[in-house]
Amino acid sequence: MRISKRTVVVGSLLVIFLGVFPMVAERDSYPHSHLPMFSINRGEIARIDTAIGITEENTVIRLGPRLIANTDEVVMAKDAIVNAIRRKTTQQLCREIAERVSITRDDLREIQINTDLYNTVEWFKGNRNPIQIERHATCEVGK
Amino acid sequence: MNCQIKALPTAITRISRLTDQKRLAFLRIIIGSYATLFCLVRLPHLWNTTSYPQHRWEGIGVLSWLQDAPSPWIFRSILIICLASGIVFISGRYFRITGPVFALAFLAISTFRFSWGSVLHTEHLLVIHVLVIGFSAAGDAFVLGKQKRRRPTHVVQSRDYMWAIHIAAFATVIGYFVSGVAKVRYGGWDWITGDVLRNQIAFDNVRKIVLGDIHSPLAGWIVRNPLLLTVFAPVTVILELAAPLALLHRGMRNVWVAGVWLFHVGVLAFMAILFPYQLLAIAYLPLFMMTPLLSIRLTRSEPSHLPAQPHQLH
Repeated sequence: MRISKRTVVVGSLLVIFLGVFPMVAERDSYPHSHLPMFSINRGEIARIDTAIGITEENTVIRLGPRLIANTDEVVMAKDAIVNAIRRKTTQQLCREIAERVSITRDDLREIQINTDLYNTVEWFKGNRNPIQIERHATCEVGK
Repeated sequence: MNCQIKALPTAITRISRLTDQKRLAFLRIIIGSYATLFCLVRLPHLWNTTSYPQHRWEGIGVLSWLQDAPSPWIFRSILIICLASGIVFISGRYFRITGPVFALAFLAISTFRFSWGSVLHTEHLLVIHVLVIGFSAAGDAFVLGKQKRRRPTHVVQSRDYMWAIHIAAFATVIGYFVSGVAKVRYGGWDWITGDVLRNQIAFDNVRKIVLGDIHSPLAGWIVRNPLLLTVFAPVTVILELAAPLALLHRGMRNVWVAGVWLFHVGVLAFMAILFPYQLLAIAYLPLFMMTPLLSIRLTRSEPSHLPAQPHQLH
């Protein structure tokens, strides 16, 4: 069995496109990426952007990707919040969430978009309170 | 159980008896079926993306030039073309047309999906495989409704089919290698010791919990007992950096594929992240179809008048 020059040429281009270029440019795109997931050292203390619902009794309710970003993928929900914070459009996102919530739930009075600081390792040892909460947006849920 | 264990080598032996032409066609059927089924299963989600607000749009890859999301009917038309051409792609009919059409449509819809501000890494390899197969001569065998194909007027030499199989296999190992480099580059020594991995598992699961999603029931146990991660973490990095070795030799390939498959089982178990293309082992199929590089020599790709002959996998 022999290998053709076509294999060598296309293979080399593939190595450049999928291997060398994303690593040099540190670019997370599609279909080429430097695949940074799981690689960054996040430490035990981590900032987590989130959207929560507040009941009349001031209980915190986790909303889920469907209510947060109209998706079933948690990464998309996370990125919707991250990008809204980056673009300073959290109030807009908050209103969108409140609108979706008003259709499906009647126990929530308020939506908050926050960045919580957690010790994620301690979380699994029972310490689940955030160290710090930074509020980006608040909006009422229309009935 | 014993029969099941014996079934895998038997399947590999059967594949090794196929001609190069049929091996490529076999890849077309398996990868094409997966990609088409993926579009079908994710149809509600994909259809729904067109209702996202414009401010969430951030074109990436081949759509990075688009400032605003294209109109929903354009996307939905491409989605329908993708599904229709996908079915014909699997059948092998009119492959010179349906191959590239399905490959480009699949690239377009998956890029569109990730242009709503979130790049998942579960489809990177799949789309490369679909593109490689789509632009190859994978429709020359196992064609639905054409059991006895007429002999082509010019017989193409076996290597004209093998190039696509080799490229698909290269794509598989490159992805893992790049991922391994990223771990060493960004995580450094702490990745090897298991600290980064423990923090990643903790972070990923806490994030899922606060965002109201399903998280791994094993996350708490592994975070509280990180000793196991001091083995998992270095083995993961070694496997990823050693990915190119899987191209060289059958034995290395078998060990590597088993290792990375178990890695994906671990990712599912501890992080509740599903890589279906890898867990179904379709991602590794090109490695079993190709000829290990230690067994081949470099030659010019001139067409021969000899018919394609099967060759044993080494």
